[in-house]
Amino acid sequence: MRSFLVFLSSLLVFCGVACDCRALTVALLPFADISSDYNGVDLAATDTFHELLEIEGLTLIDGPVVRRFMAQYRLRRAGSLDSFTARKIGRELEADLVLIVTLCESGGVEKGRFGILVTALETVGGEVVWTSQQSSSLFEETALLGIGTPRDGSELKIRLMQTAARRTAQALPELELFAAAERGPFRLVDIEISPEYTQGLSTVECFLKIEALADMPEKVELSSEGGPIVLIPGKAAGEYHGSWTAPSKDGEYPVSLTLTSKTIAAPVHLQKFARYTVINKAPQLTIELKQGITLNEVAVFRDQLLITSSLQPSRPVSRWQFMVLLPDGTVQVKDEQDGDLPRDLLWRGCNSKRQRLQDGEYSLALTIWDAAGNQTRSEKKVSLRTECQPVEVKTVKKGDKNIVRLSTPEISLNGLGLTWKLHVYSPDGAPLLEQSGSMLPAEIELPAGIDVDFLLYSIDVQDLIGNTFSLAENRLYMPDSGLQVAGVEKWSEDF
Amino acid sequence: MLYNPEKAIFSNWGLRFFCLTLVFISICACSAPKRTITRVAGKNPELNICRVVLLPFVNESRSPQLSTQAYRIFFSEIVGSSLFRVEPEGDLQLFLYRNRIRPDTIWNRDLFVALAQQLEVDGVVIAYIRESNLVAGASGSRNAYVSLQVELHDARSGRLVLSSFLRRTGDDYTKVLHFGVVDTVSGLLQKMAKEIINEWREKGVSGCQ
Repeated sequence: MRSFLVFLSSLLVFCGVACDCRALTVALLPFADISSDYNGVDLAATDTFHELLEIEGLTLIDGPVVRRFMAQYRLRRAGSLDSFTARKIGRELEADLVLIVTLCESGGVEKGRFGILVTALETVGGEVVWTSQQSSSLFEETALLGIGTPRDGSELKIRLMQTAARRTAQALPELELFAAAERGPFRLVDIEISPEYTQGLSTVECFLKIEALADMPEKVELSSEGGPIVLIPGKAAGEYHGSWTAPSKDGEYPVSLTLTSKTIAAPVHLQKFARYTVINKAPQLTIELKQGITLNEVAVFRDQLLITSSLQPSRPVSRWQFMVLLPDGTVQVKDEQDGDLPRDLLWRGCNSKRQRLQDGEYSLALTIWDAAGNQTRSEKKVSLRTECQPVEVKTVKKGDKNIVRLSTPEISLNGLGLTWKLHVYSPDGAPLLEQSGSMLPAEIELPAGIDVDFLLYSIDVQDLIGNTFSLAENRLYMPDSGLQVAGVEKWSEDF
Repeated sequence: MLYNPEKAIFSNWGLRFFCLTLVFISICACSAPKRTITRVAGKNPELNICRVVLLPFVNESRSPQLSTQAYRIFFSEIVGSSLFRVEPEGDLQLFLYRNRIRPDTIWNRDLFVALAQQLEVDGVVIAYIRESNLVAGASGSRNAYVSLQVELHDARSGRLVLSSFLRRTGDDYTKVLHFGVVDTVSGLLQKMAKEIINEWREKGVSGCQ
């Protein structure tokens, strides 16, 4: 009897050593229910699934323990997990696997559509090792003669959860869990380099937040151009900060980190996790004006000007200023704002109080400050013209011919492309002449045999920027009449 | 009663009509499957990609939850296919937060390089849900349809490797009568993801194998 007991105990010890029968421990996170809301959680379904997995033979960590862990580490999102947290769950809750479940579809009892997605992460490397998806609807489940068809949506939901639990329980023990390589003991949660763009020899500051699987690093060293800087721990655990002087040369400078701890064999290097840029020279700013006509490098416009700008090389802008100035430097419009420059600016020829400015010459000045604080400015001359150039109409004698002469006082504005249309009538209204053209001055011969002191004329004039004027039934005195030469008596804007 | 061949089963006109109808339905159900349009970028694309990360799906449909749903289902199918090793969704979210990358950011080469460096991935999957709605299905129910475009980029350079486009409804998978019809959006997305992954294999993406 004694020898039998010794044999039995030896056999049990041998079996225990040979098959390493430690049950697989699984942490089940609360179900994410994205069927109605991005942040939805279904705790009732989580508890049901927990029971189903236990029935199938899996060892699970108690739900409240998992939820306490989530609350402690402020895990606010169900349905997704990062590898570091998976490893932390493995370490602190002694879990081999973490299950995250998403209810993709939950159409309710009436609609009867349901979808469940199970994902397993191992806790050594935090890798996703297995996933499974089940989805169905009452319509899909309709069998021949209705045998075995679920009665309603809730029965379908239970059935699918049972299937998911069975598949999970079958698949998990067969996974190769420890094939994944172990990752580092630290995780960089946040890093902020301020300013991201700076001028040479300015002070650059760094703030970073680190999480550790076990103990925090004893030394956090930041490496950049100009040598390493040891960062100072902040008030909260895992927070570090430090500052250094930026190099004088233009360029992009990457930042790397080295974390040292007595509990780890070798320092952990986090390469090129952030960068800052040194810029000493302002970019070249070019402004282009649209919806006007450029004459002798001056943009002439009537209603509005569309102002577009470009930077060469392209660079983030921290502030910009737009001004409209008179030739003597008096500011008519000033707009200054932080942030990037708008794609285009529109100026309607008004001052800051939205009052229409008088016709005349102005300067548009655009100034920008790039993200490093370098300033650049560009200016353009513009001319506001809301009235058409008057055209003088008179008659002259050339030999025995009577000529109508059209001319403008300002020769420089001929470039605005005035087009005109002239009608000449006899005093009783009979048409004598109809002529149009686009060149000024112009001379048109009147028909012979006119024996009156004056004629009547109408003229319509339009320039290229859209200003139009017209004169109707004005008197045109004949050269032989000795009466006064008709000038521009009255101009009326054509609305 | 003697056997009369004219009154045998197959000489009965009603039964003949029934058999013909069955044959017709079977032929209709076995019609040629819809093709997935996959284009390979360039002559020698980088197909040696093992570890990938899925960026959040761009949702152009009117269903707000569809992007998360499609993301997780596509993620699940890639893991299940063993074609690639996939970076967990949480790691990507942390990367986006740490680098202050907003959902509407246009990805340039610098961002791809940062992603490749920090998450140690070779490939990036970018997907667009172009359209999604319900349509009246042949079987009488209201079936979902989804248009999906999925791109695989080389993470080290940001270059496009493959681009697949497909549009499916639940009725596309019908076999006979209502059997085979996919009535759930999840089921439809799962089948679409499988089609795309199979297509990528056929185009020469070897993944980790």
